[in-house]
Amino acid sequence: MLVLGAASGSAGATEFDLRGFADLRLLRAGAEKAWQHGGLGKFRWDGGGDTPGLLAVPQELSLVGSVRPVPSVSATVHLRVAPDQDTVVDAIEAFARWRPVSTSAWRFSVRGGAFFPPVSLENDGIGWTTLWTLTPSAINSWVGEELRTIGGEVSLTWRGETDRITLTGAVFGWNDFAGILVAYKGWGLHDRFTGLFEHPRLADEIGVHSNTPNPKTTQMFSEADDRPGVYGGITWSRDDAARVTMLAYDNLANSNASKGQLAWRTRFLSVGAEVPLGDAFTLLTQAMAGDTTLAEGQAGQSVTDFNAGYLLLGWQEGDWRLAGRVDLFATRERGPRNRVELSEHGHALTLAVTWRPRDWLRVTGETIRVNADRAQREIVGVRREQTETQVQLGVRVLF
Amino acid sequence: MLRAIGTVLSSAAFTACLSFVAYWSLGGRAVLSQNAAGLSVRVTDASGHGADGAVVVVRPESGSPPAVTVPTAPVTIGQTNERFVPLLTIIPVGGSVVFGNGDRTNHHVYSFSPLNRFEMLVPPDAVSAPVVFDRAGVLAIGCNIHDGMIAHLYVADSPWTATTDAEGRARLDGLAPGRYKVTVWHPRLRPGRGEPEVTVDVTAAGGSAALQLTLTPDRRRGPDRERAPY
Repeated sequence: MLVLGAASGSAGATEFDLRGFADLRLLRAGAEKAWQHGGLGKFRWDGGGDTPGLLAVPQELSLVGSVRPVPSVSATVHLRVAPDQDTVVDAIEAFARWRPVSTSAWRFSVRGGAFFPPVSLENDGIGWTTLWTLTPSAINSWVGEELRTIGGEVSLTWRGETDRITLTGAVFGWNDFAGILVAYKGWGLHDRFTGLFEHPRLADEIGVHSNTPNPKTTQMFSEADDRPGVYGGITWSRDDAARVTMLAYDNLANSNASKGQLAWRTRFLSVGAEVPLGDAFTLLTQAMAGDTTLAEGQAGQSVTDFNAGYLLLGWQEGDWRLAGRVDLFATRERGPRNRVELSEHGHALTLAVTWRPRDWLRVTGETIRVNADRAQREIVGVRREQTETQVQLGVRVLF
Repeated sequence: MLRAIGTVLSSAAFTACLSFVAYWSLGGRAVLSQNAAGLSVRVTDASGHGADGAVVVVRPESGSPPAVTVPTAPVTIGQTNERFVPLLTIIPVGGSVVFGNGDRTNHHVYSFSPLNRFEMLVPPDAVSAPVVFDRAGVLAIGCNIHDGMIAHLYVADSPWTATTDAEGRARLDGLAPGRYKVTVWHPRLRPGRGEPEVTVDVTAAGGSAALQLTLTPDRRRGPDRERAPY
């Protein structure tokens, strides 16, 4: 494998930086067809048949470039090359940030462009990856699937002697179809974040029960009603002691507006916390509750409540990290009685061990066992309750 | 001799900090009395282990400490590999600091501490203008471009100021027999707990003091390719 070095430098007053990673995976995939392939499986990959399969996958090459024309302004783009996306290259995030230096207790910053909302304490690695595991929690797998702030965000931080409080607010568009995936296929556990220009695959069951052709895809980062959405959040942190964050999100979509397909009104509340325990342990937890609505007030109205939470205990010592995580997740659809039941409930246990023998190399072994009960599976001849295990060895070369 | 070892991130920082404190101790000697004695201080964490890099300050129980001697040259806080080096610097009231950028990237050094608010852009290979600190206290210093960078500056109003070694020990010489207050500060002092303080008697034969700190976990980290740069 080609090992690249991070590139940074300056041309006049402008500074630039290019870094990223290449990811290889050796994995034993689950038997159930993955969601990306039109199935109702919970993982990114499947065995390609009805049995688990062993796969070696050049998963992705991610490049994160930034330019800083003046010290207070930066522009960042995250591009991904992956074999399982619509185009060879897609963008995951692209945004500019202005954060002037402040010598008072107050500091503000402004972001504009396309970026993940500040909902995850888990995904603080380069390219929105997680440091503890290869696969993020069900909550943040979904955030990667369906959420992107395409708009502007303002943050105001108060900095005390030991405490910090940040208020964040955003106005955004082009997220009127967020909610369709969690409603139509349920929660997932994967690191396959939707590219800004992608049209994710819908479950083939949709075509089967509606007697329409498959495969089907959906718009994702698109505007249907010309009505912006909003979110607001607050984060409190105390030096090396704890961090607690809360975000309320509402895309304010008109669920009767159509742009080739109906929009989804999606809103949720997310609360997360990170607590260091001694020198080596970290506790991470997050809970989310929300709903997504289609065709409000119409005969075909469908409301899906979605709820999930996780608890992760991590241990780090030197080059080694261990993590154990428990995920709980559920959806409950409140739609017409004569329609397919789209509700589900499930749980997952994830164990991961990570070794960083070099600054440029990360090796992670991970296993996930997920159990989910989803009646929708029976439409395509799959038993409604499935228990799947995925084992991965990930080699990530960082540059 | 004043014995002090700063909390350091590298051997270069260790050398710089040590040489600075040694220089400052020459000023402290000017106020020694004829029958000066030494005070040995041991600082431990909550589990009884020696607390490295704690700042120990000794002041008379009544009255003010002797005046500090201000070095003519500023102390340098460097920036290397997107870290401030050293992490902790002690200067006397009236002393000054310059920031030397050894990286290939700009650093926008600032402090919003009420003690001294300042900000300055330090280009690669440049050294900033000196910043004078004329009030005692502790400042946190950061970089507006690289959020992970932090340094602590302790501005001391007593010549009897030292940092503990790896065993949590510090020795302060040149104290006249009498009663003193010993306070200790640490960059990882648990928020809201205040600075521990004890009162000790120093005789012609010397004295000793022991203090215990409750410290937060050491979560410092330098730049990491695995972490988001923004």
